[in-house]
Amino acid sequence: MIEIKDVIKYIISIIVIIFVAFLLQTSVFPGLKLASVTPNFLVAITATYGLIRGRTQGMSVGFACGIVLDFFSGYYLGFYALIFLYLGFLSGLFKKWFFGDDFKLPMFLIGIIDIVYGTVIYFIFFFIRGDYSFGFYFMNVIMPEAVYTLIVGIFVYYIILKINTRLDKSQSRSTRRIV
Amino acid sequence: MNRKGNFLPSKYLLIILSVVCIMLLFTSYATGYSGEPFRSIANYIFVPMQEGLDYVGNVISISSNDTKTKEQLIAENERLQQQVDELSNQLTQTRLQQSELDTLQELYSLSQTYSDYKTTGAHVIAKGTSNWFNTFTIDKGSADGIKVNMNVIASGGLVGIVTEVGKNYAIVQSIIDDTSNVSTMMLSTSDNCITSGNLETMTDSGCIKFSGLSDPDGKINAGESVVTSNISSKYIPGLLVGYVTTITDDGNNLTKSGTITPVADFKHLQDVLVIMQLKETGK
Repeated sequence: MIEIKDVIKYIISIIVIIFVAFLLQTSVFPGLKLASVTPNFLVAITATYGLIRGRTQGMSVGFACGIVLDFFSGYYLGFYALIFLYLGFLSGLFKKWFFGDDFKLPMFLIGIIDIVYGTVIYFIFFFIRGDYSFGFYFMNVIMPEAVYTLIVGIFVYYIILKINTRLDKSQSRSTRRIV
Repeated sequence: MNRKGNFLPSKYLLIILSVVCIMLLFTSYATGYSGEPFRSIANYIFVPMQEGLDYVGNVISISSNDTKTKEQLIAENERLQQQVDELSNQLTQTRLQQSELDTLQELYSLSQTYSDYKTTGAHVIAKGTSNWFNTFTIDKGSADGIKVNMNVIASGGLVGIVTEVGKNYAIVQSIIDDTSNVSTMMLSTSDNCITSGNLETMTDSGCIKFSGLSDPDGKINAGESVVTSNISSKYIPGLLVGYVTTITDDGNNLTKSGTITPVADFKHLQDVLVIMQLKETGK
């Protein structure tokens, strides 16, 4: 039995997380650039939710992150939503190997998902326009971004995991009360 | 655990959301609709927060600039004093030339010069959301009279063009963005060329590319000023873009291409000027 109150709490937590991550990504971290890249918080969030909650919620969170990006990127609406949707789905496939307090898999996954994201963006925006120097972009944009995202991803993962365990606990308590 | 999964298997959700995305893509492509009501929500939630964070960031960066020693300040002061003398000297000369120019322009009834475009200042409050593109958000929007395709300048050079406007924010695509193309010309010979942003050369050497320059006599050398051309459909003529750094012959022996160092400092962009006038193209 799931209470509607818990679902709302859960959704609000996701909205707050995306909001904070977006602000960090656009207004705080451009001042903390390493190797002239900023970390990609939204990819880290999508990967984390996919990993700890599975495909469905990875996709939903990815879709939400993508829509926020679409509103602020000025390209066609739905473009990033589509990419993030599939990133969420992809990371959801890793759920079966997920055990709560292991940090290696989340780190690895966030890095991999960010590399996939970078490669997709390269093919859509650069390869199609006849820019074939993939090696350059891989070494100068995709790899640094993946490494930086992986590092901040550890914190993102840890925070999201804590929030979710908290919500789950409060949910099981209230369910017990009803039964 | 899988709450939503109870009533909707993930593969159906994937298909449904994919279709939604593709439909959104098509509608926004076909109609130019960009989700106005949602954008205004974003406008009221994100922009105030971004302005606040930007303010905090500026305060921090100013306090780290405060730590100059007295000797440095004295040396800087001397240097600036010299510059003031030089510049005031130049100013008198320019004034003389200006009055001459005014009389000549009156004769030719060419009253408009680009110096009298109305501009408005704006703060850069957020950078674009990816490392692939060079866009940024400024804190003025349609409420301050900003419109799409207005030109943006900073420190005497062209920075970019407004691509999207909200009520109190606007998104600017900079000229170093990989998808940006500007119709430009060489100042001395008025030969046209296309200046396009390039992520690769920008990361390597801080330059952007130009191409399609017809210069059979080889008059263009490194150091030549590049300005926006008078045939551009979006950019106002005569805005300084940068200086030619390298120039090479193309394989066809007809045109030349090379790199330009932009005037504007894109790494430390904080305040920009928006030119409140759109290019009149007679359309």
